[in-house]
Amino acid sequence: MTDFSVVGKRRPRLDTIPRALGEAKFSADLGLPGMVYGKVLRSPYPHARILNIDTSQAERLPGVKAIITSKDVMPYKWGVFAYTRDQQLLPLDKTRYLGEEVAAVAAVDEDTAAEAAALIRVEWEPLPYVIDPLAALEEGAPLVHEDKPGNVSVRIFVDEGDVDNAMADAYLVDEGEFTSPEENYCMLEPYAVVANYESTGVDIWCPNAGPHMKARPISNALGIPTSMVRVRKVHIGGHHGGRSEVSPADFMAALLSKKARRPVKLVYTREENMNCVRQVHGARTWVRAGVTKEGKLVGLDFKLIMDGGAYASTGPIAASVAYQMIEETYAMPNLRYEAIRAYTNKPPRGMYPHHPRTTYGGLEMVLDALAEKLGMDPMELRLRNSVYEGYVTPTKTVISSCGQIETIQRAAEKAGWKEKYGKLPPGRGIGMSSSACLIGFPMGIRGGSGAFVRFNEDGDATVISGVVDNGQGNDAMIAAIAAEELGLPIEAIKVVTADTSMTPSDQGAYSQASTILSGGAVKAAAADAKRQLFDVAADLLEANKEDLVARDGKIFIKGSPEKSVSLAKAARTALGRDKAILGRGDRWPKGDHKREWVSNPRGQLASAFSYGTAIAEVEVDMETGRVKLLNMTAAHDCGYPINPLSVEQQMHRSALEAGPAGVMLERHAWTAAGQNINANFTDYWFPLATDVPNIETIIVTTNDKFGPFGAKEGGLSISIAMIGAVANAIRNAIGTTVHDFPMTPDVVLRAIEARNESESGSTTHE
Amino acid sequence: MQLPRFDFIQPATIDEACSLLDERKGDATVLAGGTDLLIELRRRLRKPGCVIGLKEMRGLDYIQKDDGGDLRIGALARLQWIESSPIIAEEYPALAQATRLVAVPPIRRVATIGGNLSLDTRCIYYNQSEFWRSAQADCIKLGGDICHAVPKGRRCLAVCQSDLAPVLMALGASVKIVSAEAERTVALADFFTGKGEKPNVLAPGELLAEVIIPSDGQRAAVYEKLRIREGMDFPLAGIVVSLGTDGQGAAAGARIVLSAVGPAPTRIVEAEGLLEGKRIDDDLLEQVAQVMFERAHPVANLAMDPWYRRKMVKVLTKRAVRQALETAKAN
Repeated sequence: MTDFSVVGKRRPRLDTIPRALGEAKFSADLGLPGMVYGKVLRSPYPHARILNIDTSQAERLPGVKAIITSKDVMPYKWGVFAYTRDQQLLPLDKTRYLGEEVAAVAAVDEDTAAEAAALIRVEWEPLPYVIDPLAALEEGAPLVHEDKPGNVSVRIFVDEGDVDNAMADAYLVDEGEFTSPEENYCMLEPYAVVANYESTGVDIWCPNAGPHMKARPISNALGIPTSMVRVRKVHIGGHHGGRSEVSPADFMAALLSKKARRPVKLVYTREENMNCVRQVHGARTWVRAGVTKEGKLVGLDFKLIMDGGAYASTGPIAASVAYQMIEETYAMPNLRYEAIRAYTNKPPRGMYPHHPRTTYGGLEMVLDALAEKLGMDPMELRLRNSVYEGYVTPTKTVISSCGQIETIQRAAEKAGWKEKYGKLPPGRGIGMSSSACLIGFPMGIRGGSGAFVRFNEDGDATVISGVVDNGQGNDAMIAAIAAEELGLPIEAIKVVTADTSMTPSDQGAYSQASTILSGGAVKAAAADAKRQLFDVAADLLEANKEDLVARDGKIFIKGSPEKSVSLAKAARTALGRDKAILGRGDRWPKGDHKREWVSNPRGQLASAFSYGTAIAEVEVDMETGRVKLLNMTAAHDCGYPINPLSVEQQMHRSALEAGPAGVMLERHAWTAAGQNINANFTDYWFPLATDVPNIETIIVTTNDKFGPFGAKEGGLSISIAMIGAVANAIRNAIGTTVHDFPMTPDVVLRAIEARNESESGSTTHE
Repeated sequence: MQLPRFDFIQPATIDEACSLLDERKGDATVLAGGTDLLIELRRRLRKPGCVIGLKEMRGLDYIQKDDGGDLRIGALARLQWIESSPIIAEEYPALAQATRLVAVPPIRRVATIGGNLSLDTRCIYYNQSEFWRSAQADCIKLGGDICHAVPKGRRCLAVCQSDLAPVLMALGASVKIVSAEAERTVALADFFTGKGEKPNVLAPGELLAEVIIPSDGQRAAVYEKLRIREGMDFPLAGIVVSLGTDGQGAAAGARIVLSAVGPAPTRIVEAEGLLEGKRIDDDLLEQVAQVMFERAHPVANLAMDPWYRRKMVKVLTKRAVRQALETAKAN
């Protein structure tokens, strides 16, 4: 498996040079002849009925080209699933969060559009609202959706084995309750759309995580065939889960363009991008774990309340993934998990690599508490409970390749775990956590990826794939896979990606599926093209096509590279024989199609699983509660690294997002009036370069059978594992568990004081 | 968000600037580094008819000693010059230290000392976009009569967020204010009003021209800034301790300033008095810290729990006193 000429080599992403040179254009940089500018009017109430919208004054303002309100839209509701269709992309009857779209204007410039938006008169009937998810679930709470009793957006319930019995028989049981407010994606690129609606169809450029996943709902909302909607991306400044779905902005820009009969550009402000796109769920998790005397887990029990905000979004997935990742990490026969995702009058919450942090981080802290009581090294506890290849989870998912134990061992060795754990001076702490990450779950008829490979006259190849590169290096990934499979140098590969009129459907950059599905489809298409080339080359070389191999631009008989024909010559010879080399391939997730998030959470969940272990070391100022992160170590089983540089970058990204950001800093806060108080980069804290220590990375290979060249995914396991690692390091440093995320100095100090009080309290008793 | 419309005029001299300010009295604001003003304009927190740009103006961009040995810093001196000035590094290291704690290097390259001292007070309910503010009633600082941070509050307690003000106050600095008619010098302690809605005494038509720091002998000063991240953040609380020693290791002439917990940095004379002529031990430190704690009344108007900000006043006071004394002894 190691004799590769392209994959497995470190190389920059395809967008690195254009970005470094300033050539890269983002959606907001685009311009079209006659283009006008959009501005959105938003609800100043967290919950209010729209009684009337009067646009007459705004329409009279010179420079205004179009105004859209609920009168211009069809009653189409967007939902990720058929049973979660609850979001009108421009609300008809009422707004459900402060900042929700009410109307939009297109005008000759942004100032005029803003002025016109301010002239729109809306007659409101403010309604009672609910901000807190616990209050939302109480009887008599105001209903966010009239047809959703009790404000229950999604309820996930899994009960496998016999948890109550397991806990009763366990040698030790421990539990904890953990809370977390919302996080923000903080993409550096605020959302921007350029839309051009013409009689032949609508062109849309916008940041996205899968253009094919947007085209369908946009066509539905506009009432035109999907073939008339062309969604493309240019360069994208961050995704992190927050660009997963269709955005009301896509729809509004398209509709404004239709009405104005001109291209429209709509660019969100930073505040809009933080408050009116998607956010990360706030949550409350209660977790209980039982172990045997030997430290074997016998059961896990979870209860979660998640704050879903105003709409369902990816709710069923978001409310499920935590138990899935956990049962794919730890082998235990009894699992009970109940998650209720509540509707509240806050912005809707979407997908995120690691959430809720309360579930992952909470469980890891409970496990460390159990290890302590058992007198066991937390590393040993994790080694003893690791899943393995062939293991079947309580909900009947079979684990394929699994390098978890190797990630634990290698991370521990690199971080000096044995030398440090239990031996650090006061105020210092070290923590560890492992996690699985599921890859490629079935998503129905749009859940697979297709690809084409075509040859140019000079022997270079163009790869056409629906995959989207929004920072993780997907373009370079498919180029490397195509080059390796075809036997071409990577410079000979051109990629065309993420364009719904040009590229075959692709599941999008969700579920960590890009490498195994999009990459797998490209590999299949390249293999198909290669077979066609070998037909020709077999003639030229007077050889059996089964004996041929391609490498470094040449086709030759295996073992005899001295006699060869170039791929270019084979491609040209084919053209001379009236035959174009056109390869095709597709790849679909390996999972049980009958498994369903809510109604049937049983069966094979995903195609493969990555594994990771994170270790963090901290120093806590016991007087101020301030945590200094000293270092982070990450070991990730990526299957096989198509591009080791990208795998390391993904591990860095994951470690940063989970540790310094997720555990230590990020949170939204709300006024009693339902207003997001820190939807800006001054008061919303995310880590700066100076807050992030050195990150050591270790790549573990397991050569998965399903993934292309054995590859799985680039580094997301670390975005889960690093939560537990940093939380446990803090726990280790201060000698008590912190129950609230993020662990800002005030929160840590309260935990230290509570510990001091309980210690002095027990001293008095003695 | 776009900027609102305004006249933009760039005077070449201080006199021109003063007469412009006089002509457009009440309607004009000056633009120095712009790191704060531009955000306020975008958010429509200020709607001046005229912005007087000082970029082309000469005469206020110096850092120099006068004949009397005082240090004079022109209001347009950039923060980056202050943190890298040899005179300041030598004689007022606490000023250089505090300057390095302001925002981030790119901002310090354009922000000015005058701008930092006249920084508007901030409140998490006030420093928001026009849309955000439209969803609630106007607060006192916006000309209304309610306070969102303190229910039933009758005063604006928006917080002074200048890192340099408390340090300069502890160094005994004063500021020169000029206008078309007159010129006045005001001790920094009198420059701040203590009113969140109108934090300093600058009147319409007046321009902050210069900061004057007296020669400080063998004193040592330390600024302890409470913030969450290693950069960028405004202070959540601040303590400055400046003192000398009597040669026997006891504190002399201490000045202690409490900052970023209310509308103005404030010298806490009672705490200073406790230190005078005393050798410092844990008991004394505790007493001084307790006085500071009692004088600090942060409210829920920044992005951090006031319970914590107040508590840290105590911790930071002890640290600042200890460190200042050590430095003073070493001098």
